[in-house]
Amino acid sequence: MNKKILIIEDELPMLKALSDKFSREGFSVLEAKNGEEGLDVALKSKPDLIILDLFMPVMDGKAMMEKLREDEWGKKVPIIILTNLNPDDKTLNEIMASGPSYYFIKSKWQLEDLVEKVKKELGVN
Amino acid sequence: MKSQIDIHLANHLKIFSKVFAALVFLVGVLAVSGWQFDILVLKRVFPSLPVIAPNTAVLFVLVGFLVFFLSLGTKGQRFFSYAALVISVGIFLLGFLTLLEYIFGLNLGIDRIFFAGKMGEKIVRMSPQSALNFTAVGLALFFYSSERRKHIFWGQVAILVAGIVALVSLFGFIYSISGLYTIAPYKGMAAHTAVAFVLTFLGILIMRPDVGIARIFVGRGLSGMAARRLFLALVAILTIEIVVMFGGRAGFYNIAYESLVHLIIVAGVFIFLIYHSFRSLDRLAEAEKSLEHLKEVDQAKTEFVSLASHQLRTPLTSVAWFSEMLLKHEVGLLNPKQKEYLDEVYAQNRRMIDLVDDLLNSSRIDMGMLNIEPKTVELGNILENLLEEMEPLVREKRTKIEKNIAANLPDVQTDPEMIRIVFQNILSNAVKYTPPEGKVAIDLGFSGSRISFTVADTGYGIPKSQQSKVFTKLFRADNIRSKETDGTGLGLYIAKAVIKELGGRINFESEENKGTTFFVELPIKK
Repeated sequence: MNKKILIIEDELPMLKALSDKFSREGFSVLEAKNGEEGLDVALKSKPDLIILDLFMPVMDGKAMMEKLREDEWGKKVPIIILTNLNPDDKTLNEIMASGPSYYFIKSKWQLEDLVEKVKKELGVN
Repeated sequence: MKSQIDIHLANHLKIFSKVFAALVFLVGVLAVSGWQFDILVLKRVFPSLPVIAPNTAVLFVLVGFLVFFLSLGTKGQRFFSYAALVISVGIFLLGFLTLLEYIFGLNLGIDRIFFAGKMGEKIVRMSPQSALNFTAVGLALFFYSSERRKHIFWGQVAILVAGIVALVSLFGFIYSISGLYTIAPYKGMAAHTAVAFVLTFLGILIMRPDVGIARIFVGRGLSGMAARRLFLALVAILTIEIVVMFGGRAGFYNIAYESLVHLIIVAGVFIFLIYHSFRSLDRLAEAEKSLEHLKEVDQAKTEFVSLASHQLRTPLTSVAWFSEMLLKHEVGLLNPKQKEYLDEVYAQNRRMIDLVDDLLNSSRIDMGMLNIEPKTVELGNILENLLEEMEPLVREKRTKIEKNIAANLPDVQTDPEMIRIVFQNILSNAVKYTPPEGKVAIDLGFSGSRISFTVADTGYGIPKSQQSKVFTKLFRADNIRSKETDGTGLGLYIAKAVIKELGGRINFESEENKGTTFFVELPIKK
C-alpha cells in the first residue's frame, strides 16, 4: 500500500534530499516550505505522517503543530520532528512533550535512520 | 537573602577580638597583682577614683582568657565547649549574686573569696554597675560558647547592655560627672574597670562578625560601607570632642569658643562624610554599569556562536545527506575512485559538523546551559557505537584498539548525550594524537559506586611544561600543532566541564613521545 507523507522544511536542498529519498523508498511525498503552507496541505490531503522542521519562516513547526492539533484528524496524525537542537535542549523537550512520535537530529543521524523511523511508525517494511 | 560579608575584613576583626581579650586579661592580672602586692596605683588609677574590687580583678582575668579562647573556636570539641560553659556560668553567677546582694541588702560572703586578708574589716564589693555588667558578660559568653548563630545573637544583645553601661561610666570619668560611675561615694566603677568593660564589649561583639549586629559592619555592599563610614565618623567626633573638652578644661579657650570648635568639628566631619560617600557611590554605580555591559557583550557573543553553529549545520547537513545517498548507490553505481573521493567528502563534512558541535557545546558551557537529564544508560553501548563511528579514522591510521569492557558493568543513571561527548572527545584525541600503527587501550570498569573509564595511548604525549593547561579553553599542545591541524582546543575543556556537571572526575598522566593516559571517574548514580 502506498503511504502518503508530508515533508515540511524551509531549506530547499534538505527538502529535495528528503523528498527524493522517500520517493525512492516507495512513499508518495507531499512538500511544503513553511508551517502555513504545510497546514493547508495537511488538512486538504490528510497524509499518513508528517515530517516537520522546527525553525521556519512565516509559521514555525511549533505553531503549525498547535494549529494542526485543533483539527480532529490533526490530533491523531503521527509527526516526526526535524531539528538540529541537541537532545537535551529545553525547547525540543517541551515540543516533544506535546505529542510528536520522534525527533530526528539532522546533522547527527543518517537519512537511513529517518526512513527506518518512518517505516516503523507506519508499520511498513 | 542575607547580604554578603567581606571575609577579609571579618578576619581582621577577629584578630582585634583577640587583642582586646588580651588587654582585658592584662588589666585583670595587673589588678590582681595590685591586690596581692598592695600596689595602690594598680587598684585605683587616681586617688580620688574608686578602687577595683578583688572579685572584679579576678573576673577580668577569667573574661579575658575566655574571650581569647572562644575567638580561637572550640573546633567542635566537647571538652572545650563544656569548659567554656562552666567558666561563663561562674562569671554570670558571681555578677548576679553581687547584684542580689545590692538589691536585697544581703551579705552572701562572696566578696571575701579572694584577698580577704588584704581587705581588713572593710568589704570591698564590686560596684552595682560592675555586677550588672558581669551578669551580662557571663550570659553573653554562655551564649557564645554554643557557637550557634541564634544563640550568638542573644549573646550580642547581652553584651550590648554591658557595653552601654561601661560607656556611660567611661564618659563619666572623662567628663568628670561622678554620678555616671558612682551610685554612693566610692561605690562606683573603677576607671580601668570601665575601660576593661569597653574592651570586653568590643572584643565579644566582633568575635563573630558574621552574626547579627556585628554583621552590619562587615557587609560587602553599600550598607556595610555606610555603616563603617558612619561608625568611623562617630569615633572621630567623640575623640576630637574629648580632646577639645580637655583643652577647655585646661583653660586654653573659653566656653563660647569651645562651642564654636564643637560645631566646626561636627560640620567638618559631616562634610567629609558627604563628599566621600557620594564619590564612592558614583564609582560603585559606574563599576556596576560596566559589569552589566560586559555581561551583555558576553551574552551577545554566546548567542552569536549558538546561532552561527545552527546556521552552519544546515548546509553541512545537506552535504551529508546527498553524499550518503550517492555512497549508497541510490542513484547509480560509483566507480572505485568516485567512491573513494566521495568517502573523503563525507568524512570531512562530518569533521566539520563535529567542529561546529564543539563550538556550540563550549558556548553552552560558557552560558551555563548544560542541562543534565539523567536516564538509565548502558555505557558499554555508547562506547561500542562510538568505536563504530570512529572506525574509518582507526582504519586509516592502522591504530590497534584494545578494549576491555567489564562483563557485569552496571547501568548508570546519567545523561547519555553528555557521556557521549566526554567519551568521544577522549577517544578521538587518543586516536588522533597517536602516530600510525600505534595502540589505544580502553578500559571501562567499576569499583564500588564509581565507574572508571581509562584510555591509554602510545602517542605524542603532552609536554610537561604544558600539562597544567590541558583543560583550558583553546589549549593545543605545541608538539602536535604541526602534526594534526584539525583540533579545536575545545574537546577537553568541554569534557572537563561536563564531567564536573555529572559529578565525576577527570585527570591524566602523560610523557612526551611515550603516550598519554586519561582517567575518568563517574558516579553510578547522579
